[in-house]
Amino acid sequence: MQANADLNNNTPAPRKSKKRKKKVNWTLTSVMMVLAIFAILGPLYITIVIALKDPSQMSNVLSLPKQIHWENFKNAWQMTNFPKMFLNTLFITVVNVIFTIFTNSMAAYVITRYRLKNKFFNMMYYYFISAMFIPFNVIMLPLVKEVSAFHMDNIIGITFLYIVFGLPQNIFLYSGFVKEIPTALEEAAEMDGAKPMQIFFKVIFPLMKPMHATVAILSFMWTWNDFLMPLVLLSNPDQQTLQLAQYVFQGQFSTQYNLAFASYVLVLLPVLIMYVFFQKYIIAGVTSGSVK
Amino acid sequence: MVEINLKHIYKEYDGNDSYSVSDFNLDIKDKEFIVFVGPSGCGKSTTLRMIAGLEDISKGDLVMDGKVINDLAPKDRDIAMVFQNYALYPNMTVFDNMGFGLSIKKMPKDEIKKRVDNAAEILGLTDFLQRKPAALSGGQRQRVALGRAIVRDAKLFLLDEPLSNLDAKLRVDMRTQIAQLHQRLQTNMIYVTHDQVEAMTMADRIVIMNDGKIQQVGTPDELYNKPTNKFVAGFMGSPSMNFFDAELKNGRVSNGRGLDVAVPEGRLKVLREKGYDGKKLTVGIRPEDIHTEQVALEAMPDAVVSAKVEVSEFLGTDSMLYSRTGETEFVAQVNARDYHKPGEEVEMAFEMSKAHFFDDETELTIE
Amino acid sequence: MQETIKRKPKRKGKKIPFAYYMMVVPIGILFFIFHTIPFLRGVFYSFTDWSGYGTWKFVGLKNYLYMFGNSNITHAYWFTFKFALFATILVNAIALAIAVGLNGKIKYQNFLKAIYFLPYMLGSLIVGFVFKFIFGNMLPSLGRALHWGFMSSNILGTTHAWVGILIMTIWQGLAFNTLIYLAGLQSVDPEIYEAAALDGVNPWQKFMRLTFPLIAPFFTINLVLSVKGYLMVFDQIMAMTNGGPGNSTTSISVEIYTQGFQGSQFAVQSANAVVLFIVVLTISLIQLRVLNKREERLG
Repeated sequence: MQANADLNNNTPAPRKSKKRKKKVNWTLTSVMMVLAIFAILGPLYITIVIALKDPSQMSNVLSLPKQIHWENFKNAWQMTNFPKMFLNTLFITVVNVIFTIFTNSMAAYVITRYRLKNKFFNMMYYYFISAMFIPFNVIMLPLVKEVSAFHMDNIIGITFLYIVFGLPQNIFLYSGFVKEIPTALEEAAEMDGAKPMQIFFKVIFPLMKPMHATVAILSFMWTWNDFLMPLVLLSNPDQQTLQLAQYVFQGQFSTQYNLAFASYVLVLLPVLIMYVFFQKYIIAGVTSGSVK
Repeated sequence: MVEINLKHIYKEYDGNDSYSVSDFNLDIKDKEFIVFVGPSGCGKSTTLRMIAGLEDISKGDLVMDGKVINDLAPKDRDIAMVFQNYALYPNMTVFDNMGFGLSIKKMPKDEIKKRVDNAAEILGLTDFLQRKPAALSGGQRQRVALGRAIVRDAKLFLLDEPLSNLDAKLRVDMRTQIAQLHQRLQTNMIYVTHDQVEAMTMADRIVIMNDGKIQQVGTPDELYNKPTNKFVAGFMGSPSMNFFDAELKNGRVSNGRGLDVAVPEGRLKVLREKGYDGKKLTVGIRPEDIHTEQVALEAMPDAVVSAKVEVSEFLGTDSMLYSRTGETEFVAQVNARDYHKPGEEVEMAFEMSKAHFFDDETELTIE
Repeated sequence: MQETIKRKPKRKGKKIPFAYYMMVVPIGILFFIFHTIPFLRGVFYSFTDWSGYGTWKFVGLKNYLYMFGNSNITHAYWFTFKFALFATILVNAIALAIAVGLNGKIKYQNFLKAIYFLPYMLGSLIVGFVFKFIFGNMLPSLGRALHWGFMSSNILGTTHAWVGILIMTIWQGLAFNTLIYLAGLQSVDPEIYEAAALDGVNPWQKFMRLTFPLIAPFFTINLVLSVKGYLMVFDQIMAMTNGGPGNSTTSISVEIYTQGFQGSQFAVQSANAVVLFIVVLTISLIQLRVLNKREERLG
């Protein structure tokens, strides 16, 4: 879309919303505000407050802590082997995002560009698009057998699977975008003497930036919050993710709610921090990933 | 020294029975400015893209300086191309856009800089080298696209409708700039356009195409004054030539629907020799060859019709009279001082010595 | 997509460089090995009596027939369909209402939008744990303190456990659906409303006759994604009830996981997975068809 706009000098200027005095509907504003605070932020407030208390302050769950017990975090940190799990999850997420962007965009570009001219690539397109209808739950039983046979039941193995499994959706996402890039750009690059890889990496790849952002956000969210794949694929306690560790440690927390909630906060915090800073991009990215 | 020969070039697409380009023959001399012109879909862009190597040639030979280059990759043909939508790389600055081809070829940085600076100087882009294409106006983008071709120092320039995205005034300016550029660079250029005005003003020679076939090759003057068929006659010139389906009888052509004028002796002789006496043919006359001045009416008394002006367009020096005589409609381009209101009955003289006659069936010029 | 295929010549007559094949084929092969082969193997096992190791033999459709006679599995289907239906309807209705609210003439619009989208960022497992606490400890103790009988017990321990899971799912599911509806509402040209206002259209007519048809494509996206997602429900159940009490909240995915891995029903659960796939595929395709047709009619 960006590419197209740059090439067309007659892009219509964004329609300016008419500057009429916008009358604020305060009733609606307050309803939406109250709903947001109680329904959405309420559970988060409870989570944080409990994480900061000790069991003696739990008689009134909703009250603010009289004394802040930071040691809950320290204990949860040690108990759930947080640093190890955090690094594992970070590794999976970061490697997945980087490799996904490079490999999936490449495949999506070629498939989209050549599927109308070439039966093979057209077949590949339909192959991947139909694979979107096969949910992970359907393949997980045989997959677990296959993965353990290949000794891939570890962090590296699962990262690899994330990169490959994201392919159908990402081809779908990138393909809508690639269609908007004029072929004249590649032809110009070809006339300039660029080889296929140079055309892709020097001309096309940089143009896909807005879609890279969307794909990166969606891949990040998927791997960071995923529970099912780690649950069935990762058995070694050293090779677990934050989400899986939370599940595994549930029993150990038993009624130590403060510790449990402190560990939830530890898991939620990285995502929340990211959300605070990149909220605008995340919302835009998720929207453009779903709405054409 | 560059000579390009296109020998019996054909282009065929899969699943398409007819040829998109058929039997295209053309010899391009050194330093020539060739314009391919024709309506959209006539095969002019396809031919250009075959020369560039962006499309395969189905049949025939493309020869450059004596060597057949059909199977040569675009990058090895030493050809530069300017695209219709400029195809500037949006992620690169103007400098990088122009230098991209050179850096791909691993040319030393200072040589690239020298060439880009030089091209920017020629095109007046020196102040914009660090901008991205999005921050340029249409005309500036167009010049960057030209610059990208200039720095390559290629043997042949291909320009695919480069001005079609510019507004009317800029288009006229750029037309001159490109013509000057051709003078200065002294390279071969092939320029594709659907605009006959561009073709007429810029070309050394024009190749006019329709339905994948060459209709005529010639200088602008030849195409305008000696069109070989009805298509060429109708395509070149604005407003278009008036055509009438008529019959030649008793030294006059008439269509039985209001038009009835005498054919001058010289033209009549040719028509009779070719056996058109008493037969149907198509008469073509350009709007500027229809006159309303008194002196013309007197000079050609046997080619005067009385017509009613239906619409009158004032264009400054000229005015266009969209007129009707009987049931026959035509356009006359007359001096604006000789003003006529819509609804007026006006005597008009057809300067038949400048008329064109075409065969009814083959639409070829009768000569 | 269809039109472009027809319009463009099938082959431009230029050879595709080998490098382009190299950009697709290797990752395509990996996808085949790790996605398609497991899928095909799953289908294959569903016709055998394999227990996950050891020898096996073909048993024909026995696993499928067994599924229909097994009350745990039929219950899982019943539960999953009920859950997916309620979740889809409620999430979409509430999300649409919130989106309309957010699209109104309100202040702090971006801030509120960010708040409503926040739950999307959080893993369902952790959110499930938090809601488990709210239902299991907080509300009952609140209920006891207020002497409200219906609130003094843990809903997740009762036959209404699924309602608890539903509430948590709605809380989280609203985020995405609201965002999509809001995008839809914002894509409508305000001039249409101005024209409608001149025609004297009342707010309800405005919504039913103009807004809703105009955001129909967004409705399709949400509905298809919701149904597909809720038929797969897993994380929140594992967090909140583990399928209990009894097996009352065991969804199809939970059943496949627990019985396929921990139980000894590898082959039966393979058949279950195949049926789940067919169900999801059929429902998605029907939805797309019906909704697209309706969109055409409305458009």
